[in-house]
Amino acid sequence: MTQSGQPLIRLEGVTKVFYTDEVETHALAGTHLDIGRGEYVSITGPSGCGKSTLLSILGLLDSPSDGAYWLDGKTVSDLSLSERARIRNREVGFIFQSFNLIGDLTVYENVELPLTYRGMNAADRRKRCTDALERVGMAHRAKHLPSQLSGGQQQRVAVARAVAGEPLILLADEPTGNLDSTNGEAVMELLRELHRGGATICMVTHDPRYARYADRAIHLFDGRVVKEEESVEAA
Amino acid sequence: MSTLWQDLRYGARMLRKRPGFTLVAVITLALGIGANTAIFTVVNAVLLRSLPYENSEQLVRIGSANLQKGTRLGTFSPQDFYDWRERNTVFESMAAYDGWSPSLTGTGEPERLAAGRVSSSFFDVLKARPALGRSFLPAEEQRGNHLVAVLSHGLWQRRFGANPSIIGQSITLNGLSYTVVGVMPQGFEPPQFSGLDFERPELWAPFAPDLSQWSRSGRAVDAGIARLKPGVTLQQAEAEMATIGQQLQQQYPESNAGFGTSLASLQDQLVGSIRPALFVFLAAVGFVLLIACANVANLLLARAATRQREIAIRTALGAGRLRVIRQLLTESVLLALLGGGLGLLLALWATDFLVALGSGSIPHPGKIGLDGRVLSFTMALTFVTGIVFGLLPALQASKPDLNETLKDGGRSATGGAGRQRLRSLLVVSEIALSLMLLVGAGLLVKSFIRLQQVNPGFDPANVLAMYVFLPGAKYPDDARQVAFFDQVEQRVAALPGVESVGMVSNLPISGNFDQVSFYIEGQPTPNPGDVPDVERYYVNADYFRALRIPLKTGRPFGPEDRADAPRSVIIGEATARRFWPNESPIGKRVKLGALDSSDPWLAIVGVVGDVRHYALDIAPAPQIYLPYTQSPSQQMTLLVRGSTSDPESQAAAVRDQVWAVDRDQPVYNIKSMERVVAESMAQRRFTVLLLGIFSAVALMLAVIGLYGVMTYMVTQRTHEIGVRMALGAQAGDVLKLIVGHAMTLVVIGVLMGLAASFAMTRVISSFLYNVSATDPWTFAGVPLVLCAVAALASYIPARRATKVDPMVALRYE
Repeated sequence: MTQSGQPLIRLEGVTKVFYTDEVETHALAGTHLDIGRGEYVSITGPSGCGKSTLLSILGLLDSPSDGAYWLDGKTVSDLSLSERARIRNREVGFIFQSFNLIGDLTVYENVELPLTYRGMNAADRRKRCTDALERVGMAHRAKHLPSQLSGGQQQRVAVARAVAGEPLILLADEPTGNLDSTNGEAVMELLRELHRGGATICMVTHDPRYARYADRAIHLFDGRVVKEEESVEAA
Repeated sequence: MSTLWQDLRYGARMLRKRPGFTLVAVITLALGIGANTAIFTVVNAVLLRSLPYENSEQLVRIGSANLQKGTRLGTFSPQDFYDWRERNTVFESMAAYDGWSPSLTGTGEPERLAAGRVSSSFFDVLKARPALGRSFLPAEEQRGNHLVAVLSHGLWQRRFGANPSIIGQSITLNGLSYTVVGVMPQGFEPPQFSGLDFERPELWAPFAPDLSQWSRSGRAVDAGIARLKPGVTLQQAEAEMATIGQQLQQQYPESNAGFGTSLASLQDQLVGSIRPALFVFLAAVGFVLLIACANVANLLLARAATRQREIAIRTALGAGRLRVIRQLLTESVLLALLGGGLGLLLALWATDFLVALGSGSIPHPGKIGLDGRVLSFTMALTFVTGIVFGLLPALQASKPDLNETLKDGGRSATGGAGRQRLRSLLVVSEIALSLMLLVGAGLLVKSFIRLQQVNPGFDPANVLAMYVFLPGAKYPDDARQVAFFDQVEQRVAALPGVESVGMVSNLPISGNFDQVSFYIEGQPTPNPGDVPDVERYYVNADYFRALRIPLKTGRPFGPEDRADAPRSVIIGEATARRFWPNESPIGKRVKLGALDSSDPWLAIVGVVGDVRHYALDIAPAPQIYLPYTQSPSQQMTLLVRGSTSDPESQAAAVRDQVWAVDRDQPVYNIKSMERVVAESMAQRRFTVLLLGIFSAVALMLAVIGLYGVMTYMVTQRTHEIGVRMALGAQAGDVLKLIVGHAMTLVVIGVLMGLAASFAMTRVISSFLYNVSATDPWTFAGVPLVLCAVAALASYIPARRATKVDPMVALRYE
């Protein structure tokens, strides 16, 4: 919860309808969700239940068809494209299943990229990038290209990029989906450390082992939240 | 600034990583930018750069105007010129210029010079000062004081070994002794009046006509130039000169009725003939650049599909749309800069090629080259090009479907429907633009072929032409001139292989002619402005045989046309048709020049076929021929018809016979008549060749563009093709699918191009000869050729599509 008592994220009656030819697909059907500051939430559910759509809306990569979305007390459901880009840049950190590093940029440049868009000066950028890479243990690979790293290392770089901007929330979409179990565990440990350091995390996963790392697990089915439970392991 | 540097660095890295793409794009852009820079280099030197004289915008050319016929900048009499100079208040200074071809003898080989007789103020008008000595004094315009000369720097070096003591020394021109009073500096380029000077003058002497020999109606002075007083506009000067012209009409109605004055800016006048062609070239290279831009835009769109994920990541991380567009445009401008750099190198070479190709057609060729303005133009063009070809792909790429693209992860992205439509639109535009250029070039080629088929009225094959100009001092009377040419004719005719020796005062197709007023005996005297003109030529008896000009009726000149015999003339068919449309002109009598002169009436003894004297594309004017035995001329061109198909090989033997008669007599402009005819078409050949080159480049780029789009489409549709083949599609079905798609685009482009070509026919029509600007054969043939080439270009990727293995394709992503 925020200091004013409001949650960091609040969704009320959010729907998302996709139209393909003459077929309507209801990916989200009146979703309500609150995520408090410092909370670690996992979103689970079967394939096609709307997990990734929900995460895209939370990350302002997509907009709801209906309903309201507050981020840090401010409504963000009807912003312009440039305002959404600004909020994504400053308030949200993304970690994707497929890492989504830019292959033509070095590790350092990938981490630096969102800070560049923020207009931050070079000295501050350098400090933030170095700190972030050290936190994930990748500072020694700063000049490498993503193709020169293993999957686990690439995801650690993606985590560094997500945290370098000190966002309000980290959104992770199947962060272990493309990793073997050893690397998957390592990334989950990294997220747990970040959470312990105060980060708010919302993670989509279909793997119950990793859902248990979160404080709270939210189960989606056919676009609705059908169950919320405190994680025993986290607790 | 630091983010711009980052964008540049990243852009450079992207270009380095894809050398194939970079190379193709850079070469394409270099072709477009290089062609534009080369043409602009010429436009800059010819149209934009000031003439090489101080405050050249104040310089104007002056001439007479025939108010009835609407002709401007015509020749004028010295008396009119002196009145203009005396009465005007708008000019700082004014000078007459009369072309002159004196023979320089006494030092080395005799040489005929290109020269001018000029008023003493000629160099003041141009604000040009001699490097040595002085220019002319007003007193030297008086006969008796006029035997002084100013040399060009080139002549001073070439003939006088750059002798610093030349001032005050005597040189022999036309057998008379002239004192050198000045040498102009290196780089001084006197104005070349179009239609007057075929070579740039190398020597000047004072314009000092013997007024007792000139009547006011004898308009024979070539040109006038003047410098406007500061603050006076051309329009004000035109108004005042028109008033002076009216005063002269009232004062001298018998000579000046119907004649006024005309003015033009010297810059416009000197470059007027090449200006329309340069504008057409600019438009053509503009089209080439647009096609190049469309091609590179297509390449970028294809590449944008592979960069969709990168753009999506950047957007997800907070890059706004403008920021992404800026990044992409930085890359395209970087690409354009590479293309511009290579284009500039290409332009350096292409400009030399252009100047060589257009020699004789482009004024001031020595001034054509790179300067600050050309470099600024290329730089600006490069930036604009980068934006033009980069903007559409950047706009397309900057709005990725984040959800889908980021979820896709490593999967290769495919182009969306919008991007496909844009690529198709670009190809359609390329086809339309190249069709317009091809139609233009097709019309010009057809026009050129028609021109080559024009019967000039004579047979130029196997004929050698050679100019001879007898100096008046050495050949002061008719008898001596006739004797000289008689001897030369006899000696040359005796050479082995020579069939006939003709002589004429002005060579056909050379552009030179001598126009004179024409009166018919027994007809009412017309007003001065209504007096018809005919072209007058002095010829020997064998002239018509040497050039195979057919005799239509009457008799040719012969031994009976002696100096003391009754005066006879032969006229051209156009003269006969115009003045005696329903009767035979044989036996009729005419007078040339002034009606009240003591010259005898001339009896028409024959009619010959018309000859195109001015140019192949200009219909023959009324012509009249006088036997040189009765009307000798100092200037004659020998025309030697031989049995050899290489008449220039006879040049030395013929020249030796001239020198056997007079060792000091210069002969010049020695060339075959076939060469004379070919040179008369130089500007048209230049236009056709250049537009042909640009059209070929445009067609090549458009076809490459189509090939690229179809290849990309085949790649994109491999899965679909695999499914079709798995379901039983034959190779022919796949070919039909791909070629059919390509030809749909081509046909749309062709239809658009045809519509635009019809709309632009007005632009090209002034360049055409005997071909309609909507010539149906060209408008039908060019699209067919384009379609055939396009079908071939799409067949190659289509053929590749038929080789798709359904098993592989169905696994294809």
